[in-house]
Amino acid sequence: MDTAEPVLQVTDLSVSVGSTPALSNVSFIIRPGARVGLIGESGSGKTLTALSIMGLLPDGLFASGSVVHDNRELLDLTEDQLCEIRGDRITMVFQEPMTALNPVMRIGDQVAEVLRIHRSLSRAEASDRALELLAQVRLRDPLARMKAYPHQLSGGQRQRVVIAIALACDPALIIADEPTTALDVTVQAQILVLLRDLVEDHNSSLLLITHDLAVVANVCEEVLVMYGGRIIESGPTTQVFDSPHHPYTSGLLAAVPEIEPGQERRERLDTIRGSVPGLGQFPSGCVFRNRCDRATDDCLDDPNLVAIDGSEQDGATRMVACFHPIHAQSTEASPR
Amino acid sequence: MIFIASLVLASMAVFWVLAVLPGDPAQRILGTQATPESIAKLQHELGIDRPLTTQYLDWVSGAASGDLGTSYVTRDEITPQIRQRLKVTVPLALAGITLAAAVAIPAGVFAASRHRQVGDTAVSILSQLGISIPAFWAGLLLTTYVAVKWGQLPAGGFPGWGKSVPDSIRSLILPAVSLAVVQGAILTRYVRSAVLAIMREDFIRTARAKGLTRRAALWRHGLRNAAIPVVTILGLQLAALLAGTVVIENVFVLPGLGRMLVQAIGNRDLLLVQSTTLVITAAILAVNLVVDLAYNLIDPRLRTR
Repeated sequence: MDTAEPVLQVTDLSVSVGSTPALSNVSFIIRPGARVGLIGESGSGKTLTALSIMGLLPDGLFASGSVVHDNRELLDLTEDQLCEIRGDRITMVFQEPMTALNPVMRIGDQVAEVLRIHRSLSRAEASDRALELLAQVRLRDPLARMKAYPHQLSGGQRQRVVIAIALACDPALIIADEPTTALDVTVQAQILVLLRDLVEDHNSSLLLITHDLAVVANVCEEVLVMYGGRIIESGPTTQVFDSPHHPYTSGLLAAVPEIEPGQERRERLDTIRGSVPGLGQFPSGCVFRNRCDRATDDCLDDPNLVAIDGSEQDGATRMVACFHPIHAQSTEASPR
Repeated sequence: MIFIASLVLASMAVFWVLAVLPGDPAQRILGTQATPESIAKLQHELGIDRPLTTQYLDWVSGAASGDLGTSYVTRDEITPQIRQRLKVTVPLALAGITLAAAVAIPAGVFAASRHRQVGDTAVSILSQLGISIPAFWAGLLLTTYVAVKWGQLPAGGFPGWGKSVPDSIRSLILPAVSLAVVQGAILTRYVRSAVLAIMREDFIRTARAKGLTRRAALWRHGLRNAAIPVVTILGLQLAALLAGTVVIENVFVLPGLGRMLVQAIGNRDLLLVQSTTLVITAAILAVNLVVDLAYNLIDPRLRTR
């Protein structure tokens, strides 16, 4: 049992777009040093969850529920109070490195800025520290890069800069929203390894948002699966991936193409039937029931995310929101 | 390089357009009763019986050395006249655009930072009003109230820089304000929408994720990026003012370039029209050159590597 105070405790987080719920009762905790993956398809509410935590929701959207960090309720903080936390205690790495940096500001200045905001360093001190950070994110020739503008860097290099900014103040939590999606495959792996290593070095926790199951498998020891603005399954990554309980998770895993040399290729990939409904078009009750083979009349009710007994591993509990979960034999057989 | 090439092309166009126009200056000067012999004699004196290419080369080489020739109608040297008029039009246009920018940039940024709030709406209504007021009407209003009723500033005329610099400045204030009302109103809208567009950019979200407030993100990251479209509009507006202050010059009886151009057209003073147009073209090209240089300063992506 892990008694340490969680870095982030999200309880019943909900966001509505107009009268349509886009995020419903999302609850999870992130423990110190944990690397948690948040997976789901486009439109499942991953980015909205991240922006709610950061207090950076687009105009007109408001979050309800509770987001607690360091004994403070983030949803109740004023903009000025939030600004003290953003970039310092909780930071973010964005999906689009090509546009995430200011095109008319030098790289060094953009990294130094966050230090000057939160650490009140002098210009020279901040610049020295920025150089160290650029070296830490393994940017080649960091001294020359300090003076460069974003357009002179490749996508992967820019994402290293964004990571340097996110790490600058040794944050308690880094939220990385699809940090590798826009990058070339070869660069993706480098950036992921870098992110994982640096999160560890800086004693930070990581919330990694992605639609890529392999990324979660490689980086995160815990995983949250989202669908239709809800978390429908969560738990230790190995357990969830080895024996998914929710039919959606199971379908998601079955839809991953396997590239194993020597293995006979499957005739066709398994797919989940239907497609993700648009916002506001999810069914009542269980949001997945119209695409689910196991759905019955029970599923007209809204299933709660409940813990599965005896599944705890390193403080992470397996939870599933389903009336008819799949009980794969490997769960019982798992000798943990 | 492009500047010179454009200017040469423009000079050809101006010369050609006026050369093909019907109407013979010699005929115009001597009247309908003139004999063909006297017309031929005057044509020879004016040099307009020569081939067009010779005339063009003569004019352009003169212009390059600062001598735009002598008016057919008044027989006055053209260069000193234009120089005299530029001393009114250029300060007027610059003052107009400076005033416009001084009001419009803060107003546009203010409106954008209070998007869909009261301040934004107020600025939008005021700028809409400013756009709908024609400059000459603003000029007339200002003359009526400020100059005539309150007796504060001259209603028209221009003493000349040589006579009195303070009085000359005073006589340019109302015309400049009249120009600034319309241009400032237009510019305000551009500034507002440029800033709003920038505030939706990803790097502003990054700036806020660093812990900057929305306003600080706007100041530190937004403004310089928003400056790029705004500088474009400023350049276009200044060019328009240099070429088109004629209405305001007439309202305030200012001896400016635009007014001279209109008079020259009325007098069929072709060489004066031609030369004035060339000078205005050069001024507009110069403004565009400055705008291009400003882009390079603002946006490192445009700098040649």
